[in-house]
Amino acid sequence: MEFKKGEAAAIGKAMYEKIRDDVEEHYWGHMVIIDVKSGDYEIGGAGEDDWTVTTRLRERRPDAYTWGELVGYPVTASFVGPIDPLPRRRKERKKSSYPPTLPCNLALEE
Amino acid sequence: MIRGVVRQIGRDGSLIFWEPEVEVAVAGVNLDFITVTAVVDTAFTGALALPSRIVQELGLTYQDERLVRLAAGRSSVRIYGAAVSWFGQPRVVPVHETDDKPLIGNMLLNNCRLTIDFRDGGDVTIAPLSPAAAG
Repeated sequence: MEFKKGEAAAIGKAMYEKIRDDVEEHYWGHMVIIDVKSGDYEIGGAGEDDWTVTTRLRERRPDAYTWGELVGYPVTASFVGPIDPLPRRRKERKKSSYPPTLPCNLALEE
Repeated sequence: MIRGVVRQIGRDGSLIFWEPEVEVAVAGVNLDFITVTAVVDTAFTGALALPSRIVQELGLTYQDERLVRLAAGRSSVRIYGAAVSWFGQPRVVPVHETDDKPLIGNMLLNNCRLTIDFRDGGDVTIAPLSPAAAG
């Protein structure tokens, strides 16, 4: 499967929104790597770099096409100095327990 | 220890700036290392950035995109896994594809001592602060 420019980003971001509130509560600063083909994803450990997490996802999804998010930040890396975190979202909803109950797959509705 | 040199760019009335450069060996999955001259850039939060020409030469294939911040704003760029020889040990790191010259960023410099004699021809050194940085 090939993706046109911007397509994988749009799918990846939409998939990430499904878990964003929960991971921002419990996994601030961790990498989340999403296979935009299957919806499978992997949450990195504290301090684990992008490629380590991507490699672990690819062990079970060898043909994965990945999008990545750094939880709580607008970008995964910067070429122009430090990255400011996103503002913490005010929670109207009840706090989730740890570990949070997350979907096992982020595939979008057709 | 990794050694390099500060290179002065521009002369004869043009704007002058300086780039601390080191040579590093990088390789794709086949572990055929090629040597590239990379600028040490502490404003780059990633590990390694390589221009498309070198990405192609290494035979890296494109299966991963990430959002990054550039001077011109946010942009989705391709990333790859590549091996870099760091204090003599091959280390697999994320590589960001750019239009510009190779860069070494903070993720590789973590746990290292970086020294720069900031003048044309000045010495650049990168040394591990702990065994972890070398591994």
